[in-house]
Amino acid sequence: MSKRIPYVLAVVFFLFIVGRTTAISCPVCFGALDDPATNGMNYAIFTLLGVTGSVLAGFVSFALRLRRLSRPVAPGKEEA
Amino acid sequence: MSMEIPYAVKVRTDTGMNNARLGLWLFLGSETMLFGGLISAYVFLRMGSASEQFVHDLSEIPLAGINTLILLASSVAITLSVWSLRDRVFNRHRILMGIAVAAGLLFLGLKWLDYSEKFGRGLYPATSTYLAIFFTLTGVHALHVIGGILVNSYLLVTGRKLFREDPDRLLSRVSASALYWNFVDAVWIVLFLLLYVV
Repeated sequence: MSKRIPYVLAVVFFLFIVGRTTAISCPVCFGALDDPATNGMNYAIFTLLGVTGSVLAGFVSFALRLRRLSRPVAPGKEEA
Repeated sequence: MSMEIPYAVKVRTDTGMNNARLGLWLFLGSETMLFGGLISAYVFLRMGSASEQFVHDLSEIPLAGINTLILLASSVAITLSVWSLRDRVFNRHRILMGIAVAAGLLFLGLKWLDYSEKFGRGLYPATSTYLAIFFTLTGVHALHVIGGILVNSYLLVTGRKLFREDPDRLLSRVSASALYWNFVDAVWIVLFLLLYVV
């Protein structure tokens, strides 16, 4: 039964392609540069990049802080 | 048999803070990502639509402005309560923590008024794209305020006993709670600017 699944999927995919006469996509996927949706997506991506970058910068600064603070602790002198 | 969690109160020499505070910072990192995702969705919806499709009612600015001042006052109160506990002045800490909790409740009350006024005018999340993202952002923030009020109230009620037994542990808990509360306040200021001012 499981061997037939790829063939069934291929037929469904073929029918899906052949059966359609027009392709529909949103302006973002279509690549309409002047569309407000594309503009909004660009701004949203940069906003999320800024947020993610800030959080990652926090992790990096914490790692640097760990490195700085671990220097004075001599081996064998850590607190229990 | 009870087990003492290491560095729950005592400051670690390698991280420069206790584990409670470190854990809270990690939690706040994830919270920043949560609000960042929602704010990014807001930016997409706002920039991706024509101005007439994304109308926001500017008449709410006074109410939201008062709410911002209330939340700022609660942040100041909780920070002063931490300082009072550091000085081992429990009664002052308790009064200030009470003010912070009361301010949080007042914030929620005014938010409820804001919501009621909108519902009264037939404005629901399904009404428009702006209202959908408005209710999502302010609703998620309100849930965080409720969480903060619950934790602060718990610390207020159980604080005296813990202060007698282990004041450093209470200070550690209140400091962590204050950090979270200040974060919630900072998020509101960003939301206020985005949703009401800009």
